[in-house]
Amino acid sequence: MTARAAEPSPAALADEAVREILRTQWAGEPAVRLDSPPGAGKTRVVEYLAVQALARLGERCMVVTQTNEQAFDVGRRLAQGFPNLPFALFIRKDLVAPEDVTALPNLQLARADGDLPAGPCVVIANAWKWSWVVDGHVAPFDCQVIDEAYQLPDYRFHQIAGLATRVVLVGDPGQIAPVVTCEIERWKCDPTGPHVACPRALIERHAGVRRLTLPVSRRLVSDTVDFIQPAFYPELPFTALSAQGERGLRVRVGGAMPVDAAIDLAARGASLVEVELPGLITGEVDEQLADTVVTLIVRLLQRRAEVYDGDTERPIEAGMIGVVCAHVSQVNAIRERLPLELADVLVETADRFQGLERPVMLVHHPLSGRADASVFHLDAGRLCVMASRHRVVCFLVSRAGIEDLLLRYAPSGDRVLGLDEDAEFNGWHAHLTVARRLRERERVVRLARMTA
Amino acid sequence: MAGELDLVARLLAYEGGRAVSIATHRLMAIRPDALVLCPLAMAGEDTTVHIVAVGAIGRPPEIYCVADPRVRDEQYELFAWLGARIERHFETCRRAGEYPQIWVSSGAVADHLDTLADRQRYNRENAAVKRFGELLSYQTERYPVDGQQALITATGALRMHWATGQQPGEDEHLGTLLAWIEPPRNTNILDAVALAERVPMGVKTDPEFDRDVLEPRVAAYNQARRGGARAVELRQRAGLIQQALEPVVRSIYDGTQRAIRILSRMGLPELPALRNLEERERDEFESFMASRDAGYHLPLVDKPRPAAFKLTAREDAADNFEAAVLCGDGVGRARARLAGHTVYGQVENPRRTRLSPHRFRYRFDLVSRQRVLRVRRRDELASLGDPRLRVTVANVHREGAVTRISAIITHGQQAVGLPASGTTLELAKTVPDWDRLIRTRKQLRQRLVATPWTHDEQGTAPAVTRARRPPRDPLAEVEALR
Repeated sequence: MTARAAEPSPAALADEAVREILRTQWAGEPAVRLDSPPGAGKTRVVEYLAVQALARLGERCMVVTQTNEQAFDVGRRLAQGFPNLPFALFIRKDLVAPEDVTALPNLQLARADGDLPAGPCVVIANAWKWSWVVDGHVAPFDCQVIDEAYQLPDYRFHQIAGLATRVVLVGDPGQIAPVVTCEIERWKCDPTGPHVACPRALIERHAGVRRLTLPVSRRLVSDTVDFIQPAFYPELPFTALSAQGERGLRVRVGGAMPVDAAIDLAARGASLVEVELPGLITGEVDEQLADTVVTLIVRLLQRRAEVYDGDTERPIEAGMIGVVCAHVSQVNAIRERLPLELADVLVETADRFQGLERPVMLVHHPLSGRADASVFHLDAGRLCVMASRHRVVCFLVSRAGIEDLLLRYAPSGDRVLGLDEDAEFNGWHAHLTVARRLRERERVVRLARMTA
Repeated sequence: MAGELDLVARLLAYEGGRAVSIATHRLMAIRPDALVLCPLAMAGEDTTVHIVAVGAIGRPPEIYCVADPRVRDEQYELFAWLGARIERHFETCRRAGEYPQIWVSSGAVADHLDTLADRQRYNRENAAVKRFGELLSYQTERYPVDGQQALITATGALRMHWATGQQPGEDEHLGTLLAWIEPPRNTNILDAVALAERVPMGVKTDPEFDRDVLEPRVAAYNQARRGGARAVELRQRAGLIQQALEPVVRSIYDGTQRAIRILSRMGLPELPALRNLEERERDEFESFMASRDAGYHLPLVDKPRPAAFKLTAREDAADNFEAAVLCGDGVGRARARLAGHTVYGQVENPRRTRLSPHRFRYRFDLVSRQRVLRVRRRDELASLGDPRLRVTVANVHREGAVTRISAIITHGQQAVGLPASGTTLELAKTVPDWDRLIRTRKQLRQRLVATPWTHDEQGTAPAVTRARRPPRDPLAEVEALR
C-alpha cells in the first residue's frame, strides 16, 4: 500500500504557479496571458519576470504600467528589492518624479528615447509613454511585461505590441473594465474591438496563446474567498494563502453601541460584514451613511482593535483603514467628516483603489440608497474591487433593500451578437450572489437608527 | 452634484411652466447653407423612406414621396433624388472650403439615417443609391463624435441650451420641447405639451393614422398596381398617399426650422471654441471626400489599425469638447465646479524657494470650499484664466469643509508668474488642445506602420526561436538576486 501524497499547501501552489510563468520565458513563449485573482501578487510576478529577463536571460525588458503612479511604484519596488541591479524609469520630460524615487541610486530616470540603455535592461514606463517611442531610436526589446493588463484597451496595446518580441499580459479579469470616454457603439459587437481589454482581445484573435493563472490570493482570507470567488471569478478557482483563523481582528474593549455588533461579528471571524441602515432613497450622497462609516472607524479605534496575522499582532491605526466609494461626492462626504486624527484613513473611489489594500476596509455599497440599478452601479468589477481590498476585514455599509432592488431591476437581456459575455447580467448576478450569501450566513447587522 | 444643477433647472422650468436657459453661449454652429432633412419611414420597414422633405434654412421644402417604399425601384428613385441634392450640397461646400451641415428633428431620425447609410453604401444594384449611402455616411460617421458639426438634431441642440420641466427622455420629442421653450399663451403648459405630443416629430407616423388612413391607401395602390391598373389611376392613388403623408412631414420640417430660428435668435454669443470645432469639421470633410475620390471603400467592420485611429479621434474630441464647454460656457463651468472637475479657490502663501543659484521653485496654496473635489496628489492642473500657468499638486489636505491644495508651478513661472495672495484661481485637469489630434495621428501613423502579430487576425504567433533550458527552480534564482 502506498501513502497518498499530501495536497500541496497554498504557499507551494502559489510558488509553483510563479515558477511556471518564469519558465515560459526560458521557453521563449511569444505571448502569455496571466489571470490573477485579487491580491495574488501580480506586481510581484512582474518584478520576477523583469529581474529574470535582465539578470538571468540577459535580455531587454520593458515593463508597461497604466499610470505614472504605478510606474513609480514598480520602479520603487524593483530598485529597493534588487539593490544590486540597475533599472530605468522612462517618464515625460516635464513630469515631476517623487523625491524618494529620484533618490534611488539604482533607478535611472530616462526622459527621452536617447536616454534609454542600449543593452540588457529593465525599463519601466506607462503605456502612453511607450506609445510615443520612435522606431529606430530605441533598440527592440526582447520581452514586454504589462501590469494591470485588463486596464489597457486593445487599441493602446496595438501601439506598443510591436516594441518587443515576446509579451506577458498580467492582470485581474474581475476588475473594472478599461475607461473609454467616448461613444463605442460602432464596435459594440466586435469581441476584438479597440475598446476591449487587451488580454481578452488577444485570446479572441489567437486562441492558442498560453493562458496561466495564479491560484492563490495572498491578501484575502479564506472566508472572503468564499464570497468573492463564486460571485466574481466563477471561471478562475483560487484559494487563500492564510489558513482559517490565521489572520483576523481582535478587540480589547467591549462595546454596546449598535455598530459594535458589526465589530464583534468581525472579531468572531467574519471577514465580510454588512452594516445595514434602514431603507431610504438618498441619492448619491447619504449623510447618515457617511456618519455611520466614520462612527465605525472611531469605534474600531476606541475599542482598541488589533489585527493579528500568525504570530504578529498590531493595533489598528488610521493608516491601516481604507474607505472605498462608488462616487467622488461620497468620498468627499466621508472625508469632510473625518476628524484630524483620522486624516491618514485613505478614502477613495473604487477606480483609484485598484491595486491598493488595507487591513481594514469600509465600503460604501454602490447600490445603497438608490432608486434604480444602473449599469455603472451594477458593474461587477466595481463591487469586486471594493470587496477585495482588505487583508483582514471589510465592512459593507449600505441601506436596506438591495436584494429587492436587484430583483426589481433584473437585467434587460440586451446581449450583443458575437459576444459571449453579458456584462450587465454578470454584474447583476454578482451583486445578488454577494447579497444573498451575506444574508444566508448571517453577516448582516441591521441598525435600527442612526448611531453617531 | 452637477446633475443636481440640471435637476434644479428642470424643477424651475416645471414651476414656471417654461423652459429655463442653461447655457451662456451657443454651443453649436448654424451654417447658413445647412440642409434641413426630414424623412419618414414606413412603419415596420426600418430601411425605407416613404416621404422626405428637404430644404435650406428658412426656405420651403422640396418633397418627394413614393407610393410604397417596399417596391425597390420606387425606393431607389427616392434615394437617387435625395442623393442628388446631397451631392449638390456637398459639392457647394467643398468648393467653398466648407463642410456640409444637415439638421434633422431628433435622435431617432439620425439613427434612421445611420441605418440607411450603412445599408445603401454597399448597394451593388444602383450606383446612384450607393453614392447616396456613401455621402450620407459622412454625417452618420461623424454623429457619435463629440463636438461634431455635421449632423445636428434639433432636439439635441435645444437641450444643450434649455432645461424643460419634463423627463429628459421626453425632450426627444421636438414638439413638446418647443412647447416648453415657447409655450402658447393662455394655455397650461402641460395641456400644451399633451397636445404637442400628438403630432409625430420623429421618423414614424402615428399608429392610428397608419391604420385608418395610410394603410388603406397603400393597400389600394398595391391592389391597383397588381391588377394592372393604368398609369393615370396609379398616379392618382400615389397622389392620395402623398396627400396623407405630406402634412405630417411638413409639420416636422416646420418644427425643425422653428428650432433653428429659436437657436439663431436667442442672442447668445458663440462658444469661443466653435471656431476650432468648425475647423476640425472642414478638415474631416475634406479628408472624407478625398478618400471617396481615391476610391477607398467605407468598411462595415474596422480592422485594428483604422479602429485605433477612429477611437483615438473620438476620445480626443470628447476631451476637447468637454474642456471647451468648461472653459467657454458659464453654465458648463458651474457644472464642472459642482462636479469637482475644476478647483476654485483663493491663493494663499505664494512663495519662491531658491533651489540653486539660478533655479527657483514657485509654490502656493489654493484654499477651496468646494464640497466635491476630484483633485489628488500629483495631479497636473492648468489655470482656466491663463492655461500657460500649469501646476502639479504636491498635497491635498481636507479639514472639514475646507480643502487646502499645495501646488508647485511647473509651467508659466515667467509668462504668468506667481499668483498673488488673495487672488481667486480656477484650475482644471484639461484645457482644449486643438493640435493634439494632429500630433497623435502622426504618432499613430508611425507606430502602426506594421501590424504586430498580436493584432493580425490572419497571422500566427511567431515560432519559438530561442528556447533555453530553464533552471530547476527559476523562482529561487530570482529571489537569490535580492
